[in-house]
Amino acid sequence: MSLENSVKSQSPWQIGFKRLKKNRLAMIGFTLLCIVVIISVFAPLITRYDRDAIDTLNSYQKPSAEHWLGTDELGRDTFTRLLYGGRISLSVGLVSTSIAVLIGVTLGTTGGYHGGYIDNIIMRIVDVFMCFPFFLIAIVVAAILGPSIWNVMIISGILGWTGIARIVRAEVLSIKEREFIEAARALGLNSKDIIIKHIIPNIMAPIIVYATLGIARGILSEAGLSFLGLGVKPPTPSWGNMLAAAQSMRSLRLHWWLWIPPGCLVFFMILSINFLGDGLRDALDPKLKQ
Amino acid sequence: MQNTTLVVENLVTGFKTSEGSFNAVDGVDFKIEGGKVLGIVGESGCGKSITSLSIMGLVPKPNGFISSGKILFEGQDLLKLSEPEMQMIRGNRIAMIFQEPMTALNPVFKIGFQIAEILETHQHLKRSECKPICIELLKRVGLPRPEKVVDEYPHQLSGGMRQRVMIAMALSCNPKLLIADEPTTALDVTVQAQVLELMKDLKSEFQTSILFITHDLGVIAEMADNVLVMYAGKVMEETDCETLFDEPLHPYTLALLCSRPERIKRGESPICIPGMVPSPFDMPKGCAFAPRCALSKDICKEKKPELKAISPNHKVRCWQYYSEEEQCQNI
Repeated sequence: MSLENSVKSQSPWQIGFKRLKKNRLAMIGFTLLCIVVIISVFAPLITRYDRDAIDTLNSYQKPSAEHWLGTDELGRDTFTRLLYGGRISLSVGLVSTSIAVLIGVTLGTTGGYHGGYIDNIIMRIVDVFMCFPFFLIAIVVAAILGPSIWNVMIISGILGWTGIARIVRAEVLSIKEREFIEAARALGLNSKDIIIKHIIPNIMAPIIVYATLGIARGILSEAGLSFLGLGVKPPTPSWGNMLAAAQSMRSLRLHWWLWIPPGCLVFFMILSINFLGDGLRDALDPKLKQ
Repeated sequence: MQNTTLVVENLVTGFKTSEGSFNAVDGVDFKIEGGKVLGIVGESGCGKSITSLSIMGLVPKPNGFISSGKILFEGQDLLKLSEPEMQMIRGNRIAMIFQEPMTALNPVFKIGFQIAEILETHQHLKRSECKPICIELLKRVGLPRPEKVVDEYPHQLSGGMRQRVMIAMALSCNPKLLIADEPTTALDVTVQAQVLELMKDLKSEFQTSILFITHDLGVIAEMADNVLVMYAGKVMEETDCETLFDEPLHPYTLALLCSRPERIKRGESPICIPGMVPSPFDMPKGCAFAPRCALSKDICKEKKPELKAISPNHKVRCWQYYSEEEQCQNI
């Protein structure tokens, strides 16, 4: 009995996450990510300041017990804005990646599974989308529609699905030749059920890895666009538009607390997501064994 | 139960490739009575598996196509059905067991889930009702501790256990016809015997007809009522199991029987059939087996013989069994 209990059924996911736990860098990344997510989500409980509360008498305050990371030119608390900015930056990353994954997986599986001219059409669309230079399009759209957080999410999602579509298509091409797919057909399942129930669960690993790294890319492009004033519009804070403070020579020299913290946060966030993504890839890929 | 389950008439299944098209199955006829086992034997690439895929309507698209013929399953022509209608039949009234039990189960789902999926699709059961049925099915195919196995993943089971799971899945809707495509090839001999025994028991229990595809004549002797010997997409000989082993007529059948490993004495090298299966793009003008046949004559190289009935249940495709006059008429 003891032997039977010791070989408990573990799903491939449980095995993967067990392996992930052994990867120190990935776990550090995961922990950092969790901390940032938690403090951003619970921002109102952590800081007593209002996000946009202007206090011109206390502008450009140095970090102190009162204002942990000082105040900006309008006397707003930098720490508070950093927390709320995290909400914006993370949600841009999440939403744009979700859009990219949704489009990419749908088109990738459709093309890969059905093959033939459907596949050809989809892959040519991918080629066309890959030709668009991201920042140029983003700047043009922002110039036409005006900068807004939604525009950043949508542009980044719509231009970001091509990579995942290619990966998914390649995976589907190999999975669909496997015997259990033929067995599923022989058992009378229709194409939709086969794709959703049998193929997608088998290609979740690369999708998860790509999505994780995609979140990092989303955060980075938000920061870049907001820095240029084409992303999230003030007074809504985001890490990118807080970094824009560094555009002023005076702040760059005298007010380090305005631009170093958001810069560091972007840096560490991207780094930890990338560590986590790499760790996930190693843990979920059965072919890679340590 | 003497009615006919499946009738296949003049089935021609072809493939388009970059080098041109060819017929992998070229005019095959057979029928299976209720509760009987039809064995198909032949070398790799002779069209055995394509025949079974044609019946299931699973010929690989877009390159494969069925160009003519009829497949009557309980009187209904399967080739005339739409894809959704075929999906109602697959897994439900015709089920299939595959060669490789190691890969025919989806590695990311538990056994119970995979069986329940079929029950949901065809019997419209709810997920919660499925589990006891799954356990019952697994028990019936002789799996130890079925209530544990339903919650296990395929990688936790051995090859023989997985093949039993495949059989349980195939039998879950009590199919009228079971297509077994080399179900024991990947298993070792003792497990193979158990699985064959199981299939025989289940056949008599449910009156399921079985189309049994194999290249192992020993398995045919064990299982089949009737046998079809195929070569290069054509039926070479068709008869019942005993006749095939007692009085084989076609030189190819003879050669196959002679090359069985159990007939080889210690120290002797096995008797091989010389030559190779002809390439589908380069079929001989006459009988496809003529280049390898020890008994081939001039006519064999010139013209394809037709399947000839020697006795009511013995048909053979070979010029040897035509009289001189018949041969002359054909030239």
